[in-house]
Amino acid sequence: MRLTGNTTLATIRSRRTAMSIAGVLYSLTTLFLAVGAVNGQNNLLFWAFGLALGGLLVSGVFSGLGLMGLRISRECPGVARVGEPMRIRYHARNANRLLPVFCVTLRESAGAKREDRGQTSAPPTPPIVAFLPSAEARRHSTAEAAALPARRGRLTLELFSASSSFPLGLMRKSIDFEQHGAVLVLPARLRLRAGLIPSPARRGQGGAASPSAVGLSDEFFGVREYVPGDSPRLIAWRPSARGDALVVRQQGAPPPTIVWIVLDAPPGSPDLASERAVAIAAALVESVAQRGGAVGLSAPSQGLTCTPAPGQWHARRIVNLLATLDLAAPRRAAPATAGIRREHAAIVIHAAGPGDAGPDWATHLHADRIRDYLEPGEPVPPALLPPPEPETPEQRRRRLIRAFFMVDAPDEPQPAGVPR
Amino acid sequence: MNTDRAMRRLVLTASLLSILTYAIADESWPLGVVAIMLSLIGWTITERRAGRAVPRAVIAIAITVAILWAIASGLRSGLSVANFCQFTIAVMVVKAFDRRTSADLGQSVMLSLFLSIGALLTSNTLWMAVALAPTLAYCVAAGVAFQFHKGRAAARPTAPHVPAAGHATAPPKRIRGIVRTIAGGWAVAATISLVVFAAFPRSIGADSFGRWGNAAVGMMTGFTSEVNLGEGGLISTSSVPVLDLTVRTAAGQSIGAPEETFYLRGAVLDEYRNGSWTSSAPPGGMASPHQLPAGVALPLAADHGAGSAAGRSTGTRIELDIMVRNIKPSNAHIFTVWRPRAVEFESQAIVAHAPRTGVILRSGQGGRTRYRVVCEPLGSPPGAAAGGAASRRVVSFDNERIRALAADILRAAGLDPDPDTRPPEDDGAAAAAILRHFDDRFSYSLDIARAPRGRDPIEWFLLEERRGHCEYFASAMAALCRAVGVNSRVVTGYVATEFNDATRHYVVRESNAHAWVEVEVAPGHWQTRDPTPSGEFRRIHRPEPTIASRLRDLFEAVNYAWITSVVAFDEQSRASLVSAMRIDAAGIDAWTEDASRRIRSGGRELMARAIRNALVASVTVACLGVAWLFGWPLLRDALRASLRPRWLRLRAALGRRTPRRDPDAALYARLLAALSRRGVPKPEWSPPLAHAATIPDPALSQPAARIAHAIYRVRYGKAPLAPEDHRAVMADLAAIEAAPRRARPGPAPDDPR
Repeated sequence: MRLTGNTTLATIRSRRTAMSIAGVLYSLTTLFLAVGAVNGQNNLLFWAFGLALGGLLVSGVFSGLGLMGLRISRECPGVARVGEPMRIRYHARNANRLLPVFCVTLRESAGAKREDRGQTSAPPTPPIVAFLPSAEARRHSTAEAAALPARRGRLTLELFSASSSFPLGLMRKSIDFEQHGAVLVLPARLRLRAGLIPSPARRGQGGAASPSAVGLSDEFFGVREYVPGDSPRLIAWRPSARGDALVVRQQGAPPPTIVWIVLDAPPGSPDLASERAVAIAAALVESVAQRGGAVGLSAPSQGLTCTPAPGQWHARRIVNLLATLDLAAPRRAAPATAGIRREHAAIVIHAAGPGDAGPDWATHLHADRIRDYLEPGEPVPPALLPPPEPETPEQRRRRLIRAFFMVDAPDEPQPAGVPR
Repeated sequence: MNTDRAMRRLVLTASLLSILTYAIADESWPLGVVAIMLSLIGWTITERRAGRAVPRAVIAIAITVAILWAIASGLRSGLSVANFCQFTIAVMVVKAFDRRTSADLGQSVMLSLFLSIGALLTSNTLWMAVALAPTLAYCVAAGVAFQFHKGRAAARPTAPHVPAAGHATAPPKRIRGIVRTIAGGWAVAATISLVVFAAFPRSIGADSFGRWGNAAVGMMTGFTSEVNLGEGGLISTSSVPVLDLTVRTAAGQSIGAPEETFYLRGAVLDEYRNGSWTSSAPPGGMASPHQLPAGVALPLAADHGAGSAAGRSTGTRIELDIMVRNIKPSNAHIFTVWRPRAVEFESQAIVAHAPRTGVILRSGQGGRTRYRVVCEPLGSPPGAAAGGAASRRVVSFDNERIRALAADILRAAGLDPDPDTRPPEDDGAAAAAILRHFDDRFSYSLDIARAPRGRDPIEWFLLEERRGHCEYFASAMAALCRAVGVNSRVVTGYVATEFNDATRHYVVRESNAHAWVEVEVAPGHWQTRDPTPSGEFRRIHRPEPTIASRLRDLFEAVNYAWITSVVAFDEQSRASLVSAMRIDAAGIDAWTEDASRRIRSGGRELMARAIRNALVASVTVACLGVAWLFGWPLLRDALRASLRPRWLRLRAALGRRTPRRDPDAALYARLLAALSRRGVPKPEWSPPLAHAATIPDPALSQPAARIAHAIYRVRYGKAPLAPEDHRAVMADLAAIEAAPRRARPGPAPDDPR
């Protein structure tokens, strides 16, 4: 079953019908009208009773029949970030020949699973809800849900429901769909201050390895044919003499800066601190990769070692590993300094207190001092902040009194740009 | 269209319409006007830009006061629909000052529905129904908009800095689809309601839970059984309909006509004291009340003791079908012409009848009621044989000056004023002479004149004032007749003069209230005499047709159809409708039998005919389909081409902007105007982004570039601005407009112009 192209349709699991409070009230009113009509022999009440009955039937039929013809497919973004909007699209096709569908609410049900690696005190991801205002008959429509992931990890989506109580909100008809989808939620994005990444203690020795690219180091890379404009100083006269054409020398690129990120988050560390450490590590990995350095990751408590390599692809791989890193599950510990050499730069991120992980020349960062590592004025993402203190009874009492006697903000957020 | 704003407006309209509907139903105009004004004020305060709701404490106090007031009203006058509706209106007004959350809006819609039901319980007038129809439509529309609002709110991200997916505007195509769907739903619901209306059995379970409201059709008649001269009384110019009258022969033929007038008797007043006429019939003159079931005719016996001629009839019976729009629940006068022989009500009632005066009193369910009266107008007065068989009742009037005046009138007519010596058969002539006395000496006036203190009003009218209304004329004639020994009485009721040709019925209004005289021309034989000057009578009760009166006739025809086919739809009507729609099984059997016989006997010829007809039908349908397929687009385009310019001209004439400018065009125009005012006008040949890059002042160039980007995105990328983007653009625009003005430079050096 396909929607368009290679989009797979969600499978219909079950259908449900529920009467809302308004529906119950409406039904009671309809009953009252019937009793009033019979009691008073008031013909207009008979007519109103018939109209109310018709409204009840039409409401049920409209919302039910419309949903029956709805075919939906979910499109997940693949990757999202903690604290950044994650948009999930729902592609709907109304297979009804005549009947349009209105006011469809698409809601990821509680069956959505999360494979968290590690526990944090951040709130869970808020409910993922999309609103499809209308789906014309035999037409495609798209709805989009925006949500803020609050935790890193792999978010697996399985069940979602499409429900509508159009037109009068009396009965809510729902259809449960099943479609597998997964979103890798990366750690929160941090803007680290410049100078946080140290230079290596000393460069690697020349000649240890052939340079992999042309550059301006002292290492020889190769020769190539002379092209007009090349400096005559670069002409390699001896090879030129051996051949028929002029060739010039090419220098190799200097070896990349190698930075090891050591994540010191032993099991039992506080959740918030561990998550902060992971977020700092991910930010460091991306920062080093952006500067062209080679970055490696070592998480001794989790038995994870990722050898340094340059390039964005490698950095993304490490960040993905950090996203799914389970800090709570102990594994066979690996030596913290395995593979780290003197000429490499190393940053050790401690989740809990000063530890002995990492080489002695490494830079040590502490998760609880995360504010010091951010650019000036850059706030700590809400997901990495401690949860707010629970409201005391006194605070609650004061808030209620203030709300009762004072004019305060509306109870529900108003849409932006819509004047009240 | 912004759906949230549209929903709030729909809720407001539904609330106001429901209040208006109830005000029409209850005729409580002050309440309606005040509630509507307060609601509008509340909405204006809270709905305007940066408007704030009233504190919750004030709202809670107001609601508490409304509840206490409702409880007090309930304790004082019992639970009633009026109390409930007034409480509902109070809550709706308070809600208008409250915050505008989803719950508030939903509650407002529900309150509007409840108030509409209250209006239904209060009245069944056509005006109420006319007001109710848009109220229900707006309630449904508000409910639909509420669904959109709720769905959008549920999908709105909880974090304030996360932009919502999509935007809160509905494209016109979607609105058209919604309107089509709602219209279809309305049609289905209306069909169901009609089926329920027609099929639901009536007369079952009536008044099982007591009376709910007073579903009256019109106003109370204000009819009383007393006449107090000089106090107004029946003199009403109100055009509020009181009853509808259809007059038929015994064979069912309508005998109403515009020139035909019927006197509908209500109260018979035969006792005069100090300017007031009262009835002596109750309690002694009334026969014992009858418990009369619905649809059962009650024969009304005449007072045989008064004379043998009382039962003499002309043999021509007429039937009056009368629908009183709002009758009193107890001891209500039943209006008939003289003399009623049988009466039948559509609902159960207790009926009391005074045989001597013909007065009928009814007790039972109030509000609209319908009854049928069989009447038998009596023939000419009996002759001497009949008159000799019964003795004349001797009456007098205790006023010397009136007696002298009456004697003068009779002497002038050549009749003996002394009742002892005057032959009984001259009583009719004596009454006629007195009637002629009013023809040219008196004038008609609706001015409520009061007699001087200490003077008898009738004497004052007859001898000095000589102008007054029908009560004075009737009272004076009755007094003069009695003064010369002719038995007479004042009758109050209505005159049916306004005949509607379309519906073949009379509409009787408050202004048709009248008073006249019945004279006993022979023992037990009463004749109607109307001393009111006939010219004035016609002017008041049968005005010349005008455009207004014709329009009123048209409305009355619609109103009559509404009342007879909707409000007065009863079990009998339902049964006849259902039986008319019932499929005749025997007829179907006969038709199928005939068809099979024809098929058997017709053979090949019948088959050929059927094939030919089928072919013709198919070709016709195909031609019509092709014509529709190809012709309709042409016709539609032609209609659009011819009608659209006219529509645009009409809109322009009505002051609407046309055509409406796109938002990006408006933004662009505003940007150009702002740049021009700041001294950096955009040359026509330069695109906006390039022009922004040439502006030296970064305070102008940067926001201008951002606005240009936004305009490009909207116009060419077809991507509407997200709310936060829109806010940013407006902020940039405001920054440009607030920037200091620069001297207008000359033409740019690279200007090709």
